[in-house]
Amino acid sequence: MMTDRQLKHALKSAYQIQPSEQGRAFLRRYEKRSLQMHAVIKTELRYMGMKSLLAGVFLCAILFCVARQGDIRVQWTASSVLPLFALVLSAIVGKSERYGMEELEASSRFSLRFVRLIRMLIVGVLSCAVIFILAGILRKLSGFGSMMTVCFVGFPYLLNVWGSLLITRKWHAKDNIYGCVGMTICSCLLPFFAKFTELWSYIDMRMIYPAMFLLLMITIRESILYVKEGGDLTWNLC
Amino acid sequence: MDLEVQYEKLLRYCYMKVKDRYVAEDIVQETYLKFWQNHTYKDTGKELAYLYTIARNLCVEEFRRRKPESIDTITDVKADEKMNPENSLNRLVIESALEQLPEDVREMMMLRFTNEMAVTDIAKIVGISRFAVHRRIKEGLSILREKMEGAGNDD
Repeated sequence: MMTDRQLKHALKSAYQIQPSEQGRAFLRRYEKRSLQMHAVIKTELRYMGMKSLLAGVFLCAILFCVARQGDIRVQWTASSVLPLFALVLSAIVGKSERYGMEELEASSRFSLRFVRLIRMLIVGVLSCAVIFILAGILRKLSGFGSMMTVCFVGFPYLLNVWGSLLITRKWHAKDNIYGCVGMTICSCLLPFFAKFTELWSYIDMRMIYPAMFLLLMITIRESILYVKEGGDLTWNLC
Repeated sequence: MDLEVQYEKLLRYCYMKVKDRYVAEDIVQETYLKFWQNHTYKDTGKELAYLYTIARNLCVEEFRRRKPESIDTITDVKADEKMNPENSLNRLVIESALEQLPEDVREMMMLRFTNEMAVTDIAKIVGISRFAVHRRIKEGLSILREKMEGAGNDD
C-alpha cells in the first residue's frame, strides 16, 4: 500500500514540462542582476530621510544626558521615554505604506520584501546600540546586573516594537501610525505603572527574564511576518 | 522565489489545465504581461495568488475556445520529451490517476504537491477556506491511492 509520503513524492513529477526556446527568450528579457548589499543599505539610508533620523538622534541625546544625571529615578524615566525612539523608527520602516510607495518600490530595483528586511536590520542595529549604551550608563546607578538593566530598559521598547509591527501588518492604511502612537503611549506608561503599583514588591524581579525572552521571540516572529508580507516575487526590472 | 522558478511552476499548472504545452506557454506569458500591467501591490503578500488567478482565468477562456486534448495526446507529448522510459511510465500512471479526480481536487493537489504552494495561497486562488482545501486534498490523496493501487493490481 502506498504511503502518503510516496504519493506526494510521485506527485512532484506530475505535469513536468520544460519551457520552450521562446519561453527562455521571454525569461531572458527580464534577466536578473545581482544585488549588492552595500548599494541597498546606502539607498535605504538615503531614503530614510534626515528629519526622522535627526529626531531619533535628538531623542537619544536627551536620554543619554538624563541618564548621566546620577539619580536612580532616572532609570524609570529613561525606560519610559525609550519607546518614543521606537515610534520614530517605526515611522521610518512604515514610510512606504504611509505614502503609498509600495508599488513603486516593488516594481523598481529591489523587491519590497528585501527593502523591508534591510530597513528592519538598520533599525535593529540602531536600537541595539541605543539600548546597550543606555543600559551601560544606568547600570552604574541602579546597582543591578547588566542583563537586568537591559531588560528593564528594553522591555517597554520591545513591547512597543512588537505592538507597532502587529498594527502595521494588520492595519493596511495610512492612519496606522496613530495606532502606533497609541501603542507607544501605553508602552511609555508601563514603567510608571510598575513603579506606582510597586509591582516588584510582590513579583520576583527575575520574572523579567522569561518575560523579556518571550517578548523577544514574538517580536522576532512579527518581524519575520512583516518582512514576508512584502511579497513572494522578486522583480528586478532594471 | 525567482522569476524562472515561478515561470516553470506556472507552466506546469497551465499545462495541467489545457493539456497543450504550446498553448500553456502562451498563457503563462500572457499571464505575466497582464500581471505586470495591472498589479497594484495594494494587498501585499497576495502576488502569487493573483498571478495564478490570472492564469486560471486565461485557462478557462482557452478551454472554452478549444476542446481539451485527450489523455492519448499526453502520451504523445511525453514520448517527444525523450525521458527515461521508467520515469515516463510513472508519470503517465500518476497523471492518468490524477485525471480521474474531480477537476478542483486535481487542481488543489497539483498546486500543493507539484508546485509546492502553501495552503493559504491555494485557498485564495480557488476561493475556499484553508480547512476546505485541507479536507479536499486529504480526500484526493485517498482517492489517488486507490486509483494507483488499482492500476498496479491491473498490471
